[in-house]
Amino acid sequence: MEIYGVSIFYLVPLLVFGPLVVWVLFKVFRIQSLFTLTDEERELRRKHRALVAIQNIESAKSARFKRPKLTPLRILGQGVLYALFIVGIGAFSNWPAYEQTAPGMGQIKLSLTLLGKRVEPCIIRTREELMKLAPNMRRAKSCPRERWPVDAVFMLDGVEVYRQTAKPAGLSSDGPSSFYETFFVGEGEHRVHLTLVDDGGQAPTKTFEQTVRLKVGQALAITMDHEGRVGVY
Amino acid sequence: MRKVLRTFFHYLEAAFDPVFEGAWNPVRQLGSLTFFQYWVVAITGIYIYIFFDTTVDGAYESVEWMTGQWYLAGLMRSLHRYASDAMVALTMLHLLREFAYGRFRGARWFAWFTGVPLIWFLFFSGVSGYWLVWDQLAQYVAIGSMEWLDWLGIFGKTIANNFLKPGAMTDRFFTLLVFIHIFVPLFLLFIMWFHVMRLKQPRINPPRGLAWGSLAALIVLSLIFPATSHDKADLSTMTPVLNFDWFFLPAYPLFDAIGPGPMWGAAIGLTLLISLAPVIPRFHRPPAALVTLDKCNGCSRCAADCPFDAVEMKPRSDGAKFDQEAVVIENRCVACGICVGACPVSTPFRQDEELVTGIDIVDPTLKMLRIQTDGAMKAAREQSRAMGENAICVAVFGCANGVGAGALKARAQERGIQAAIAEISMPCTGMLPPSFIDYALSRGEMDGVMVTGCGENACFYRFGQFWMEDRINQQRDPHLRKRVRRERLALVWAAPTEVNKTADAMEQFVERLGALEKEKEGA
Ligand code: HEM
Ligand code: SF4
Ligand code: SF4
Repeated sequence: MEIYGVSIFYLVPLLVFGPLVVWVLFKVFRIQSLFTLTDEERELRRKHRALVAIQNIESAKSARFKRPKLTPLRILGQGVLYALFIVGIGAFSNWPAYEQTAPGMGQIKLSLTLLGKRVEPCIIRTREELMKLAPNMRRAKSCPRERWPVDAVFMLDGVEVYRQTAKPAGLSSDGPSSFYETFFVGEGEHRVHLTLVDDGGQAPTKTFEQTVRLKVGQALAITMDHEGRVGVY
Repeated sequence: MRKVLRTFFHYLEAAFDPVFEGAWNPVRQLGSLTFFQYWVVAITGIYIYIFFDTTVDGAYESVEWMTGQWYLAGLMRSLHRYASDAMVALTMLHLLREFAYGRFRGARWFAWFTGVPLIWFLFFSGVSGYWLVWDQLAQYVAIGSMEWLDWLGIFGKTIANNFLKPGAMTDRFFTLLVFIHIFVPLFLLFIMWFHVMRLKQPRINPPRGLAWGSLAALIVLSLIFPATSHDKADLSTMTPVLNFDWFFLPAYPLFDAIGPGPMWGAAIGLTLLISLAPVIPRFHRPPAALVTLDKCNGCSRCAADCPFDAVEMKPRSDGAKFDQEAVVIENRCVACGICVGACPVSTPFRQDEELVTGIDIVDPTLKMLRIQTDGAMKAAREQSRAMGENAICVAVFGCANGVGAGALKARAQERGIQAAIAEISMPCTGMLPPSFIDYALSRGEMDGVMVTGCGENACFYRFGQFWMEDRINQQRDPHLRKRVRRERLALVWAAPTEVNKTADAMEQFVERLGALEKEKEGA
């Protein structure tokens, strides 16, 4: 949904965080004091800061700010502890390796984004019908925006590995439906087979079938180009 | 569970003490060390950005070039990586420690609560950094991140498609990633500032020795084990086995295992759980400090000493001749009583029945503290008489977070230390007006006074211990009077697990006091 061409999704954070920010400004930063401070209060504040500073001057000479005595034994001990620290950091920054799939596999990724058919067909209004509408609503062709969810079935080497129904995006269900899934498969030839139903019916409205050769560590994508043609890339 | 964790930290800190001493003990500087690592990351980041190519094609090679220059750009890159990792490790330890010690309850919820977004921003900063290398790991992390976001369905299209096939990634998108990696860390800094803004004089700089020490250690690590990249990203390939940064990236294997929905559930659930810790099982703030105007002369010492900035000085409202008065901001007050110890009006010598001071807490009030002191000292005197004429009387002022009341007495008895001990406990030793020490020695006829509290540099209420020391050393108002003989005074900072350390100190102290008594008799 849009308001003046801006998706309302951008308003949600504003509505959530706006009041939070205002609350923080007032309760935590107490910014109201910025507006309500009298000159007298400002003067007091200055005085107070000065007093705090005086209170801290002598404290700053305290022994706790002095460097601990560094004996050779201590230096050695610190060295050992720092060594432990960098071993810990260095190790877990690189190791143990993460195996996202067994070595020797390749990857096929299915990513489709397509519009389902409209649930109701467009209406073409006659002259008489148009005259009955308010002047600003007079459009000859009107298309209800809702679209069908899309069903997808994906088979790999004759085995069904994926079956999904994707609802159209958007609050008024007028956006595209998306499918996204990753499959790890061994190297060699594979038969991929995809059927799509985009009109709420049973019969496939689109099928795609192809044999692909996959190498170790190769990543293939089954996706659509701008014209909606499915292909393997 | 918190108790176990707390004991763990007590022992951990104790283990570091002999090597670093209290002041440099890194376990007590986790927040400030994290801050320091941030600066290291920021400075090295600016340096390597100079050589970084912000295009899809050039990024990887520019990073490789830097890695090749091992003595400078490569070093900077490694430092950038390892200091970030250190930030994560230190932040987690810092979180655990604050949790273990319960420093997130009541009015202290603020630092805790603002700490939670720090975790998220730290995570995003690190992850977005990994994208920029544009190697196989970057590819894996970037795709995982986009898939995770895509599950929310807020973009109307699959943004992971930006990584689907060769050429899908555009320079424009890559530039966006670069911007994310610059602005998220900047925002992190902003929240870090926010995190400590309710604390007076927050410790954001570690002691110099620790700062240099940790930097030197990371430089050594960077030189012997420089950060490297995987092969260049190639969207037509994938790498089954990746060398992995478990500080920043453990969410990704988890994501692979459980999928986006449960992952969001886990992330949001954990975030809520941590955020709401201060109100589980319920929010409890002990009653705040109270100002009694007729006793307040507006000296502002309480405001200067409150570790939580909970006292404000306001223009006088009662027509008294002073120009300001103390006002407590109730929802910041943790009821530590440090302000009571700071108020020059808090003196036990006063005869008046009421013993009202300028600023007081509710549990215990200053008056209650004097009653407790009088009672304990009386019992000790009686005990010492019963023990024979040689028995030394010692008043021990302690806090609720150090060696517990009773524990020291029991251990002293076990060891057969010939002393009658009067134990007086309060929320924080910083609550003790120094005049009480004078009072115990002169009026209470104690032979010595021992002041105890949390481990050195680990004051539960941040400054109680410091102000106490400074007051005794006459470096902070109100001073302990000169006439008080310092050899009759002992300061022992020890965690609850360090009963033996306290008992050792007591043994030596009693010996010293015994010698003083003999001297007196001789004279
Ligand atoms: C980037 C990460 C962080 C940095 C740089 C940081 C830094 C600091 C610093 C400098 C202090 C003040 C210490 C003092 O002066 O006594 C502090 C206190 C504290 N921090 Fe953090 N912190 C971080 C993350 C967190 C997180 C994730 C949590 C928990 C969710 C947390 C909870 C606290 C608490 C409870 C305190 C104590 C406040 C008090 O004494 O009342 N911090 N932190
Ligand atoms: S008791 Fe006093 S020193 Fe402690 S937080 Fe409250 S006002 Fe501050
Ligand atoms: S320390 Fe005591 S006298 Fe001074 S401003 Fe605070 S309450 Fe008033």
